[in-house]
Amino acid sequence: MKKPRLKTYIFMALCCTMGLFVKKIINPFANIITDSLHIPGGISTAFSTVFIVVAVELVGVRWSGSLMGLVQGGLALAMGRVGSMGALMPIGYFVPGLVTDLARMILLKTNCTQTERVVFMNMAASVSAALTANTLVFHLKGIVLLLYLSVSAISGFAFGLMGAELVRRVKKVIR
Amino acid sequence: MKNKRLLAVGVILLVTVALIAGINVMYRDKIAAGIVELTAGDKKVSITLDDITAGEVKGVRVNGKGEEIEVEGEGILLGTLLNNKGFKAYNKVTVISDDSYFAEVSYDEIIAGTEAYIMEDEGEVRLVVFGDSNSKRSVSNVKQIVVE
Repeated sequence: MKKPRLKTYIFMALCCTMGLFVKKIINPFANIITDSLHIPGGISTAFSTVFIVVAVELVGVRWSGSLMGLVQGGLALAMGRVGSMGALMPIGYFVPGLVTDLARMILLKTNCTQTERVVFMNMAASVSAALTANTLVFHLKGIVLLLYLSVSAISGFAFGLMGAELVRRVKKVIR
Repeated sequence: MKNKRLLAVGVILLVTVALIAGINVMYRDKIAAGIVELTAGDKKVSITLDDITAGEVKGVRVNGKGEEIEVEGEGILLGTLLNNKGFKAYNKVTVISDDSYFAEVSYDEIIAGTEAYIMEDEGEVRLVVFGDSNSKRSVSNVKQIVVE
C-alpha cells in the first residue's frame, strides 16, 4: 500500500474543506432547478462530492475517501453546519466517502479509463449521499424518490466530468 | 465528448431524468396555493387559509442551521384544526409538503400539549413545532395532512 506523505495529507485537507464549502456557492442556482422539479436537492451535493472523488483518485490511498468523509463530518459538527440532519450529519458525509472508496476498488478491477472511473465514482458518491439524506431526513417515496436519485446521478455525472478534467490537470502537481 | 461509453451513459441519464420528471409533473396532485387536503381513509376535507388563520401565534423555531428564529403570524393548533374538522380519534398525523417531505405528530403529543401549529406563510401553509431541537418537523408549503 502507498504510504501517504505530508503533501498528500495537505491536499486531502484542502479537498475536505473545498467539498464542505463549495456546496453553499452553487446552492442558490441548484435550488432553482430542484424547486421547479419539486425535489429537496441532489445537485449541490454532487458538486461537493467531486472534491472527495478527485482527492481519492489522485492520492490513491485506500480508505482515504472514508477518512475525508469523517473529517468533513467532524468539521461540519464543530462549525455547527449540521443542517436538517442534526447530530447525524457526520453519517451524511461519511457514507459518500466510503462509497467512493468502494467504487474505486471495484472500478480498478475493470477496464475503465481514469475519466470514466472519476465520473462513475462521483455518480456513486452523489447517489449514496442522496439515499443517506432520504433515509435520515426526507423520507421520499415512489416517483419523487426516483426523480431525486436520478437528478443526483446526472449531477454526479456532470460534475464527475469536471472532476476528471481537474484530475488530469492536477495530477502532475500532486504526484 | 470523445468517450462513447460516457456519452451513452450521459444520454441515458438525461432521458431517464426527463421521463421521470415528465411523469412526476403529469401525475402530481394539482392542489391550489393555500389549500391543504386533509384525508383520513376515504374521508377527504379541504382546508383553506380561513380555517387556519384563527389567531395570533408566536414562538421560536429552529431552522436547518440550528439557529433559533422567532415566528409570528396567524395560525391554529394542529389538534384544534383536526377537532374543528371532526377528527377526534387518531394515532398520528402526517403533514406532507409540496416536494413530498413529511413530518409526523402523534396523538399523544397533541394531547400532551405539544405546540404543533399550522400557520399561514405568505399565502401558503406551513407546520411549525415549537420546542423541537431541530428543523425536521418544520414543513413549508404543506399540501396534504393525513390522519391515521
